[in-house]
Amino acid sequence: MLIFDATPTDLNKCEVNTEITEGSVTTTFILPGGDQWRLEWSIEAGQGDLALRATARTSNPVEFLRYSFFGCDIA
Amino acid sequence: MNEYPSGTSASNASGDHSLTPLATANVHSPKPEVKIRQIRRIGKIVVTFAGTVYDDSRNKESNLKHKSGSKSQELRRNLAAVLLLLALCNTGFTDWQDAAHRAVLTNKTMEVRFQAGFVFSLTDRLTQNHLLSIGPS
Repeated sequence: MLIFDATPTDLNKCEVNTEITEGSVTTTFILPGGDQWRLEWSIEAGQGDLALRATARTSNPVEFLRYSFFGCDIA
Repeated sequence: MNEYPSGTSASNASGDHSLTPLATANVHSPKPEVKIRQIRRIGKIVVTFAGTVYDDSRNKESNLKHKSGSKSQELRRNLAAVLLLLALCNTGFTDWQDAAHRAVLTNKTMEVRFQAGFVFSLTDRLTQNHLLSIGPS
């Protein structure tokens, strides 16, 4: 999977930690090289929004940070 | 029946405190917030890429390692590394496809299921339409 630039990331080799609270779920991937990718999803009550905050901590500057939606059927 | 007009807007992702420990970090990209899709009746999906933080303190640390170096120091460092490795083995890190990384967020209008931060199911609760659905593994 491409997350940082064009360098493939193997999620199977990452350390993964997920924190679940009421209204949010946060997953942190720690790549073999020590880089970190954090996905923080939150949902508002009622008819509120679903929001994703994606952050990263890397040892070198990166130009692209990607998040992929798979299996979409949204026209 | 399903009308999901696209909408875009941008605003600053203020209040980002998720990476506060890195006081020396340089932010290399702005913090755009992009609404990628507006779903009528059931709210919006808002995606925020808060930017990548370049941790130059880690490079400084690695430079220091190269400078230091008696054998006893090296042994001590190796021992510390082994202990750290053992500690990590007990921290409960699991495969990203493990059920421990599965979660559900629900409000009045949508139900979203995640596997390690990846959306694998998005359901409109008002119409029961599956807007996104794939196997979690």
